[in-house]
Amino acid sequence: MDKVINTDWTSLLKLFPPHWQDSLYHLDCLEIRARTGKPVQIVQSGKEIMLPIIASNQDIQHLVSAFSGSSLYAFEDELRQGYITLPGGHRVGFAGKALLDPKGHIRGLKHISTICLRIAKSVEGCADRLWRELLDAEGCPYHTLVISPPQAGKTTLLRDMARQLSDKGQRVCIIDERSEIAGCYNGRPQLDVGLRTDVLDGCPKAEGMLMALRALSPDVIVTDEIGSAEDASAIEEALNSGVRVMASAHGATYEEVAARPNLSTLLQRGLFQRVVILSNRRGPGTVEYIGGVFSRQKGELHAQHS
Amino acid sequence: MHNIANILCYALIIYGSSMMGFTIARNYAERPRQLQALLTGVQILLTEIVYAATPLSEALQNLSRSCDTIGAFFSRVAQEIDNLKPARIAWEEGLEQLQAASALLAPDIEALRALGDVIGTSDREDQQRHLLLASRRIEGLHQSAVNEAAKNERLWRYLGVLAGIVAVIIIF
Repeated sequence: MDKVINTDWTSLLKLFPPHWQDSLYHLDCLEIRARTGKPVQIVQSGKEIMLPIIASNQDIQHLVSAFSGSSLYAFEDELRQGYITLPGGHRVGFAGKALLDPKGHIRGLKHISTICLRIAKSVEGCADRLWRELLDAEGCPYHTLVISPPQAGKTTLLRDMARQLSDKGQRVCIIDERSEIAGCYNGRPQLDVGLRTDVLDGCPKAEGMLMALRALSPDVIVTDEIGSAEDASAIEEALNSGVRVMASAHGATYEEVAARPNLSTLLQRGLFQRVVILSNRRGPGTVEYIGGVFSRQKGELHAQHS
Repeated sequence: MHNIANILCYALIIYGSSMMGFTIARNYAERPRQLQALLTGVQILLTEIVYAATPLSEALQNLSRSCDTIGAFFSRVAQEIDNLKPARIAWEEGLEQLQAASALLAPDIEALRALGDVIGTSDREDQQRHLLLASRRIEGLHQSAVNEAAKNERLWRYLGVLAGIVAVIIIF
């Protein structure tokens, strides 16, 4: 049975302007989006609600203050990426006017007008039904690629796989470039990622993978949203050094992912032994396909998923 | 018997009036000292924010060890920020209490209020600009407070005692 680890909603709620709190209290939110002058938008699994509250500029400033502990200047690096992570692993994305440095790179944001809070929820046990396909005879995981469109649960699945492998005795290293898998705050994972898990937080995937290989001697490396040429070569490096790799990639179908230049090389050379394809068809985490890369028998696992 | 009561009464008048003079004189002497503490505070805040990017509540908490009245203000704001109040509101509320408890005058509080509106809300470069501006304003205020203290402190100390004596003479 999957256990959704709900976050401490009341303490998160305290960050919102006082007159929003009553309306938000009873809602089960995946995302909260606030835009200056527009109604507050709540995204629940599969549907959205527009609250009868118009976000004023002051409300947005209140949220920015609350999310940054009134210290926006301490989040310059994060703002350059466009988001910050809160205690509890929740992520806040911002939109506003970009500040550019003389070279034309983004230096930060000002006049923030949109706030998008994604609430972190881990679903413990969501990887349970997949292990039969994903573990070899010795109980080590195959090199696995999880393919899914946004919000279909690939990060949640990766997190649960990392947690379970780690609790079963494997040394797991998570390269968490966007602080999504472990939701680190001040370097400490805010979500349960297992006993034997090390997290390289905010670390570029390619460099992080090599760093983990050198320094942490992991059995399994877990990383999110691979795609660049550096990622591909670092994965190849890891795959060939006896470490198991579990990664995810954006895409709705196998064909979509196989069409991306860097990933296609990895897939064509058969470096990944298992592919899991997720969709939102029956709620987040619907398994569309699980199996080897070339032997694609579709359909068996559909029925098992609720 | 009657005489003793009279003398006591006169003494009381002189004592009260001198105390009043001393209090006013002390306020004149206190203001530059408190402005100096504020100035140091703002300058430390600038270093903490611009060079160390220390979170605001932690930076303010570090300042609370300075001069008592001013330190209490910083520490109160830090606490409120820890209680998830936006800095602007925490700062404003702190200022109201500071104005009541300190020798600071309206322009001093105004300079701080301007800083409170922007503190913690922008990147380091922008924070540096605002903190520098605030510290320059406070420096100016401090200078004028020193001058005023030199002029008025002794004046009020004597004036209190003398006014008491004059009142006694008139009544007598």
